[in-house]
This record gives sequence, C-alpha cells and structure tokens, in this order.
Amino acid sequence: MENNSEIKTELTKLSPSISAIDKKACYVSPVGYFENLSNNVLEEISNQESISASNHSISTIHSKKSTEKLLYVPENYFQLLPQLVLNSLKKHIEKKQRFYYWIQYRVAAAAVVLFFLGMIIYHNILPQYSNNEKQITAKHSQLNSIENEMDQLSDLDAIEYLKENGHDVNAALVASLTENINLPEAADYLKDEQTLTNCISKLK
Amino acid sequence: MSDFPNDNELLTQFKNESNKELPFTIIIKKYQEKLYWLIRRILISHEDTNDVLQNVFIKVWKNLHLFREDSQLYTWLYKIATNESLNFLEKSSRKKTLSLNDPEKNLAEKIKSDPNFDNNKIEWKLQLAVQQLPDKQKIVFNLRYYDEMPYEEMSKILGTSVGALKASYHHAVKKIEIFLINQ
Repeated sequence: MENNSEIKTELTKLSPSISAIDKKACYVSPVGYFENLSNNVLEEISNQESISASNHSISTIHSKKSTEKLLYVPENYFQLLPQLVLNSLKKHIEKKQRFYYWIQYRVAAAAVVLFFLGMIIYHNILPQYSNNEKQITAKHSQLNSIENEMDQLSDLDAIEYLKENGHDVNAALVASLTENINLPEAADYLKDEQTLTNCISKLK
Repeated sequence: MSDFPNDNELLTQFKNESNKELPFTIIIKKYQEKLYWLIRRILISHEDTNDVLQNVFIKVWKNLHLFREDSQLYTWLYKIATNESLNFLEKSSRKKTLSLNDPEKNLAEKIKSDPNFDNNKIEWKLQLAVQQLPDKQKIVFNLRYYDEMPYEEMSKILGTSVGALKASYHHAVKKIEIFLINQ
C-alpha cells in the first residue's frame, strides 16, 4: 500500500503547480449538521419502517378482504344471471325485428309512391304525345285523300275548275308541262330562232 | 476517528438485535464527515449532499446485516457513497438534458453561487477545474487528491483496475493544469 508521501510525490511529478495548492476546505457545512445527522438518519429510518409496516398491514388487510369477497354481489345474482342474460337478449332481438319491420314498411311505401308517380306521369304526358301523333296521322290521311281525289279528276274537270276560278289555263298547262322538261338556255334560243319552237313542239 | 471503536467491534454489536441503534449511530459519527466531503465535492450543494448522505446511511442500515467482513467497512461505505453520488448526477443530468441545460455548467454555477466563492483564490479555481472533468475521473481525482487514497483501495471501491485508475488520475491532473493555466 502507498503512503501519503508517495501520493504527494506522484502529484508533484505530475503537476508541481497543483501540488503547491493548499488543500483548504472551500465548502462549509451548516452549523451543527454533523451533531444532528445520526439522529436525522435514525428518524428517517423509523419513518420509512413505520410507513412500510403500515403498507404491509394495509396489504395484509387487502389480501384478507379479497379472500372474504371484498366486493359486494347481490343476493341470488348468479342464480338469476342466466335469466337476466336471456331477457336482455330477447330485448335485443325485438329491437332488431322492429327495425326490420320498419324498413319493410318504408320500402313498401316507397314502392307505392313510385307506382303512383309513374301512373301520374303516364296519364299526363303520354296522352299529349298520343294526341299529337293522331293529329299528324289525320293530316297525313287528309293529304293522301286530297291527292287521291286529284288523281281521279279528269283534265277537262281541272280546266273547267281553273276557268271558273279565273286562272289562265294555258299558262297553267305550260307550267305543269315544263316542270319535267329542261328549258333551253338563253344563249341557245338567241342564236337559233327554232330552239323555242322545237321545245314547244316537244311539249305537245 | 481514533476515539471510536474499531469496525469489527461495531459490526459485532450491530448484529446483536437488542442493541442495533447504538453501534449504527457510532458508525454514522465515525464516517459522516469523510463521506459528506466526498459527496459534497461531487455534488457541490449541501442540500443534494445531505439527501444522498442520508440515503447512504439508510442503505447501510438496511444491508449491514448482509455485509461480509472480507472487505473493510469504510471501503464498503465509500462504494455506496460514490455509487449514490453517481446515480444522483446521472438522474439530475437526465433532468437537465430535458431542460436543455448543461450539467457541468450547472455545477460550475453552483460553485460560483456559494457565498464564500472567490474567483481570485486558487482553491476555488481548482474546484471549478475539477467540475469540468467527467464524473468518474472527478471521483478518482477527489479520492486521490483530497482523501489520499491508495489505488488498491480505490480499485475496490470503484471496481476499476489500478492501471486504469492511474491513467484516469494522470489525465485528470493534466486537464486541471491546463484549465488553471488558461484561467
């Protein structure tokens, strides 16, 4: 084992400046601290021991009580428990059923409403559509009958009709005949006087 | 300390259940100052030192019946005191890290806030220099410098080899020297 002088020599070799420092106690302890320390420590120990003793007694009480059914359970609770569970299950099922009935009624009501809406739409909109169609077909049939009537008319009846209504029969005839014939170009009948004559003879 | 009975005698008395408090009080009285200054140099504040020292003696009370007499009582007491001090520093440095304070700066501030602090006095500068050492190096320096403890004893207390302790002490002395020169 080293002695104190060896320790001092070591420090002098390592750092003469530190070795030269006087080892004065810088810090100060409170007055009377060391006189009372042992009493304070013993007091603290007895406090801790009494706390741990009371904790031990509390834990002992707890463990005893727990074995003696510390928590209260109503009388016959366990006998009644299955019935209680069944009742609550019943209630739950009834609730569920009520919900399904409610949904079914809702769906049925919605279907009825949709049906009536469909009916209203069918009766209000379709008649209008069918009336228009009927009018159009009536007009078509009217036009067809006019055409048929016209076809049955003889040329003489037509001329008579035109004369009675003050129309130029010849002009009407020419107009009707020229509908299907290409008339000669202006350049053609200016060059040749016979062009128009030929065209009229074609009409006859 | 020579007025007190020797450790073996005190341990024998302590193991006698009927008379436990008296030998324990003597053990406290015998070692209180040595342990107090060991802890105080590490923790600086008296309040922290008092808390740790009381804890040390409470642990001694609870475990003294388990103490094996193959080592010396004072070595065992020093071991408990250094461990408790290091634990305290670790806990407080964890708290300081959370509050973003530098623990070393905090200890230096504690030194400076001492009513007797004098920045012109070399012994106070030495205290500031010691605070910038890592915790274990600080303890090695304090045990060697103030308690003049042989490396073999220190090895038993700190559970570190003699060679590692020598290296640690040498590093600590050099760091302190540089700090003092820069001051």
